[in-house]
Amino acid sequence: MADRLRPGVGPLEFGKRRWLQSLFLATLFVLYLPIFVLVAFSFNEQNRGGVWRGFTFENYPKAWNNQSIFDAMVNSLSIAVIATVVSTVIGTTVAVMLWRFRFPFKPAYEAAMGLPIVIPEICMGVAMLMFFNATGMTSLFTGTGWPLNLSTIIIAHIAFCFPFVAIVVRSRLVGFNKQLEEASRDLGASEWQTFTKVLVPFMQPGLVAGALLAFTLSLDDFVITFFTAGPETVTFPVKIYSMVKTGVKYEVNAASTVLIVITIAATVLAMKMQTSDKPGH
Amino acid sequence: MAEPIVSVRNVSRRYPGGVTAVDNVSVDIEQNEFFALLGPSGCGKTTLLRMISGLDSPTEGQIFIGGEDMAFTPPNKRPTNMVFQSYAVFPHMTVADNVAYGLRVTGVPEAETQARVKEGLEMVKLTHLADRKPDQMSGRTKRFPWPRALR
Repeated sequence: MADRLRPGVGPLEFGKRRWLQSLFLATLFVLYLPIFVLVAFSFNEQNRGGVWRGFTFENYPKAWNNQSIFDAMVNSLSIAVIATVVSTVIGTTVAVMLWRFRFPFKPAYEAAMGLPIVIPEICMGVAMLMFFNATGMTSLFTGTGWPLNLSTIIIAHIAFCFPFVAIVVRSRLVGFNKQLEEASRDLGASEWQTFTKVLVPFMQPGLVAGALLAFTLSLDDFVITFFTAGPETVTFPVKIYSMVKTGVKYEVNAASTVLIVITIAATVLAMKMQTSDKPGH
Repeated sequence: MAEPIVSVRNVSRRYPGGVTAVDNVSVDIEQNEFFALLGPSGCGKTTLLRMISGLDSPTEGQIFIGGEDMAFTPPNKRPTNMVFQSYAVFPHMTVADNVAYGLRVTGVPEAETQARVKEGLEMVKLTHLADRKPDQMSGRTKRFPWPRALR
């Protein structure tokens, strides 16, 4: 940067550099202001228009009483919870398998497992749609009523969520001292006891982080959900999209704010779970 | 002479790739015998111990404990216990829970477990640190793998 320092600014006082400060402010502005505006306008009195008219809580009960928003929210949360639990279990077993065993074509398998992360969502969505149609699963689950009619979406979400869990847990396992496993066996524990009492507690921070990642990915997924949803199932992101096309009402803001609060609460909970085991508490 | 409690007969351990870690070793250890195995690094002491405890299997020869062939007995079913070179203490458990681990997983009643943990920690004079986690202790106080291995 500049060849000369401003008077009163030390060589390592980056916080006082003007260009860094402006970059920081610009980043804040672009990344966080929209979220702040979204939340703020959920308390706006006048529906639509984009002008601040006055403070009110009215939009929240309005969103709550809007049956289609409510149903979409319930759908999204149910899908996210089920997909998170299943993909955490699958992802963890995959991670343990990749960590523990050597087998032919392992690098090929590892690469293939990561495919859902790498390939564009739109391709994944189309592929899933074709798969569900070809196997007759779409028609199988249509008209089965809640929550079975969410099955295709849940399966699709598990398919793209579990590799994230596997990668997070796998990287956690790299630091595991295999002698702990041997010590456990030597002390009389069976393989299952060793897994639940030694390996799972060790993996726990990775499990929590992976599950949280899966939860947020599933909750806000639009593209894959859009392709795999049956005719009677609408999730929250899909619902919002269809509502926005006819102009933003502030009950959408209210519902979105609730969603933000849910994800933040989940994150805080996950961080609490990760730190509770640390020393010195 | 009485029947040896541990009997190692013509045991070898060859790894794929041609390394022979233990080559045709035979050892008999009597009941109550204090037996020490000495040798330079890499001579196979640990490999032999791991085969006796069941964490590794011999490529040739047999190991008998109490007169029984151990070839198909998993490590958790063998009456052996080891103190690992890296100590291998469980980092997520307190000192007391570490010592109690072997008793709890084998279904020893909780009251007896508590009594024996207390006894074990008194033996190494670590009773006052029973509720610490391993990473809150300095290296010299990591004596508790010994009572963990004694049951």
